[in-house]
Amino acid sequence: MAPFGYAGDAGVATLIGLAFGIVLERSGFGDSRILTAQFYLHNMRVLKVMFTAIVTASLLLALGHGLGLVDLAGIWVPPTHLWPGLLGGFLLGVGFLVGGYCPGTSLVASATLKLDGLAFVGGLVLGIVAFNAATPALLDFWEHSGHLGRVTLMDATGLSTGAIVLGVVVLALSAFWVAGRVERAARRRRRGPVPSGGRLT
Amino acid sequence: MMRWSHIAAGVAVAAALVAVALGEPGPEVKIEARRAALQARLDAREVHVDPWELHEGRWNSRMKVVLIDVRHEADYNVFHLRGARRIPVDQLQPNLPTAGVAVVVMSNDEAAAEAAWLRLTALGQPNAYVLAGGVNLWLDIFRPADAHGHGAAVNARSETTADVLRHRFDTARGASWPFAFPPRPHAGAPRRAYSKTLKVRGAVAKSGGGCG
Repeated sequence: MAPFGYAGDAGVATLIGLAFGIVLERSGFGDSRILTAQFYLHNMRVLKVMFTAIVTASLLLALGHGLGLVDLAGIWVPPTHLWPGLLGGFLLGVGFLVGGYCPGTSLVASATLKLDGLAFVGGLVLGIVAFNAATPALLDFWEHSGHLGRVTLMDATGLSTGAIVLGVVVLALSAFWVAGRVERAARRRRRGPVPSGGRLT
Repeated sequence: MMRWSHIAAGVAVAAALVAVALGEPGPEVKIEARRAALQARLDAREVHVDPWELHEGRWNSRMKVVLIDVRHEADYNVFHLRGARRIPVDQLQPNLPTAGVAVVVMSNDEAAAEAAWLRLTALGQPNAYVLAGGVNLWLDIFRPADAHGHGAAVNARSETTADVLRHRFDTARGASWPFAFPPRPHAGAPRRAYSKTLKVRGAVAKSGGGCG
């Protein structure tokens, strides 16, 4: 289905990608120090930005669905492959922490010619080649293990789309509040204890 | 003083509460929203599968076909295609297999099957089709001519809109009749001409999620 024609759809996709890259770069996600600070709890910006994006998209989809403007059944949801997903997520997390980027942000960093971003992209390409070479040995695990099909939170819980989105919003606001407290505590730890007397000399 | 983040949080909660209040649009709302466009496809006979194409498709190991029979239980018990599942139209949900699977809906003629197809497709079931001519045409083609005079193929579009079973059976044998699953068509054997309709979209390759 190509609502704007294939060329038009490619153009729309390009614009969306451009906007996404600009948002990531302006959010500071082209800097590996900001990205890895998430794991050390110094800077929770990644959580705040990503969760904000999730909440915004979820609200727009839920409102569109409720008004009959969007058919959620027609939206591609990747099928859940439980065990490959867990393993892949773990490997991604380790790579994120060690390398300082995830695939998308490494492209953002590369766009501004950061050397570590370019190195990360090089490693990414090598990893893709290696994975493809190993695909015959991994195929059974990758395709079939833990295959649950297209599963959404609505399917799993039986709750309505609006109820799920309300839960996501509440979860996000709670996470933002906790993240703020964690950041303040981390800043206090980095400043260290205040000397006794506390007077400037 | 109200910070912008507090305002944004309030807007998000309000929007979520509106989404809860709107609830889930019922199947009738979805069907009515798409009725005109889907009816146009039915009128153009874009989704009508000739019985011979279905017959060949069932022997094609690369194609998986799910058969849904929406007829009355009595007609279903008398005769139905082997492997056909009976589901009343109002109980149809878009929870049938999707990837690489064609769902063919049938009734005695086409009226009930078309209503079922419209419901299924409006609710999001991909790869759904209607058996052209229904069970009546299937029997016209595959049931051997016998003392009842059946066997000659008739026009694909039924002359009647009553959607009743035109063939008479002395006993109710369901899918046990040999013509419920005719033998594999042999190369060189006479076959019925049809325009190909079944196009099964294969399983979509896994997409990289991307983490941003």
